[in-house]
Amino acid sequence: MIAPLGARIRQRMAQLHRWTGLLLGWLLFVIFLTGTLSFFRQELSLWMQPERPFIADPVPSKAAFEHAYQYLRQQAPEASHWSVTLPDARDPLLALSWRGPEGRGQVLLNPLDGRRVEARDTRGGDFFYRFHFQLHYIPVLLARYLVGIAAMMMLIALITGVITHKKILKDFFTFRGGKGQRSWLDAHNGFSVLALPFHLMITYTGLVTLMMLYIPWGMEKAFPEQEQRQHLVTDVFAFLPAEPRSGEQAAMLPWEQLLAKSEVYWQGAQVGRIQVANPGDRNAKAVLEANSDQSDILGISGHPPFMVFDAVSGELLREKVLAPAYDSYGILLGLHLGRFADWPGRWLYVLLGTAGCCMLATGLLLWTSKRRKKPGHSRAGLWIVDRLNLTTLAGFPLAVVAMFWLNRLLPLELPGRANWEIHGLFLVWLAMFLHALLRPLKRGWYEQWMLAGILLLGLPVLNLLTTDRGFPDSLLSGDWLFVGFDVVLVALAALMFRFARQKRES
Amino acid sequence: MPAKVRFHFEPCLRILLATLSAFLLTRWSSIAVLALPWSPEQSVVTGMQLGFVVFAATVIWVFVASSLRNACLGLLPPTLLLIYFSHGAGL
Repeated sequence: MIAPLGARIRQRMAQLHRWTGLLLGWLLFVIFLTGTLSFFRQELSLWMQPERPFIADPVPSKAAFEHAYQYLRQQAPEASHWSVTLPDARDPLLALSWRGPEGRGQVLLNPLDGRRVEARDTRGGDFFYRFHFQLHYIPVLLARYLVGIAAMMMLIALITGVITHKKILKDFFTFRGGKGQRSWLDAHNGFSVLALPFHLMITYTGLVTLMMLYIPWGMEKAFPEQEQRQHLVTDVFAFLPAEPRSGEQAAMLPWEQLLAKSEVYWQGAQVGRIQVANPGDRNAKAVLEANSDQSDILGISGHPPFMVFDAVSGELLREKVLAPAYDSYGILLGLHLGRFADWPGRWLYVLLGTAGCCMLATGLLLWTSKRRKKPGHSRAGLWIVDRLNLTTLAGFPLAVVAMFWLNRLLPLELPGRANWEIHGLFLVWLAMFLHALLRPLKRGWYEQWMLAGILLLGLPVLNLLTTDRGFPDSLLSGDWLFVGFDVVLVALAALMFRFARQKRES
Repeated sequence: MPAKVRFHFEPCLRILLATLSAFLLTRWSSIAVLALPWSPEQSVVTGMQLGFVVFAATVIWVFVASSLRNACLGLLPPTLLLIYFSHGAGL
């Protein structure tokens, strides 16, 4: 009695797994790929702005703060909000941004001399980071809901995938190569089970990062007033809500004094960011946040300690509340962002994220491989799924590489240059979609993998020709980021050529 | 012919029931946590973190149940419980 019931449950779970996977697999692949790239967000930004000076030693924060303060006081005195991100081991420059009635601005400063760093206009690694939870070209809120639905389906597909498996451990140690559908299934199982804890963690914690948007009802019931909710938002995100200016000028306390207070409270943890609301006004407030990279002091939490000061009197108004629910949120957030990770840890994140991409890719390929064999199956459905698989699995990574090409090739003075890099990515992706529709399937796969390989292999050469940070120079000056980038590009090119050869031989 | 219609009809109803009940149970659970003996901020943030688990578990339950009727019966106790506690929190 129990066994057949179990079999029926497994069958229904398999159904749920298959359809959630197919409907959202393409979107999830793109989210997973850009999310995986986001673990190298700072590094991608550095590579995409080769004009940034290579600074080997980090700078003490006090001197850097003074440069930032002077710059903002002169260039953006009327702004309603300042934000300063301090240099750290991953990004050696000072990043300033402001917003106000006259609009927004941002600038990079050299922390050594406070001078402005002129670098090409690009979104850098931030593009991938933003894209992986709010996509592009569609309203931010709508996109976040879409991504949330996809992530929820992913969580369900993961759990149902586990229930579907009778012999999860045995399957994991099985690989039958060169056998079509059977091989795809084994590969899919391998990538899924190998990194299953990671897949579950990253999907669930991803949902948690936007929990205020997805599950707002408790907050709305408990805090019907907008102002009460703002306090909660400040506690959870260290975010300063906009308050009206008093109109009365007042001198702000030197930031050094605020810094001194924070360092006492945080057992020596370094400040990572300072935000000021209404600078220069009687109502000025400052938020100091610790840099969450410091796992030796702060652990893995992605919700670092922060303090809100009255920026004129220096009075401490609010600080991070130590409470279990906030701490568990901080740990979930920290696990998702992986900012605590050192270099081996970050690479492990990237490898596991790649395993996630491979899980989604092999799952999608398995779907078509299974149906190709069944004579009664709708040819039209299979045809379109095949083409979308090609466009997404080969075409999207190719479009990402094309964006790196545009980063080096677009003229520096082109108006809206940063946006054109992004338009370029989507135009190339569109071209790959048309290519997938027009070419015979196997040729299509072969050509897109080949082109991706050629573009990847060409990037180090292009970098050598268009910047002064080519492979020989960066190797000699110990610029390991640029060296590493070239090595990874060549390795990925080899992988693409292998995929292409496989398509030609089969 | 009737057998074939039934075949397509049943999964559709399951999808509908799963989506609707998961949404409602998540919503109620995020309010019911306010009945916990903690500060409202802590309860709210706890509810947000648990909500995703409630959603996923509900969907999976609807597909695990052997029939639609059993799925509904199984949803009844948590629904009543959550509505009771949501009410206690001032619904």
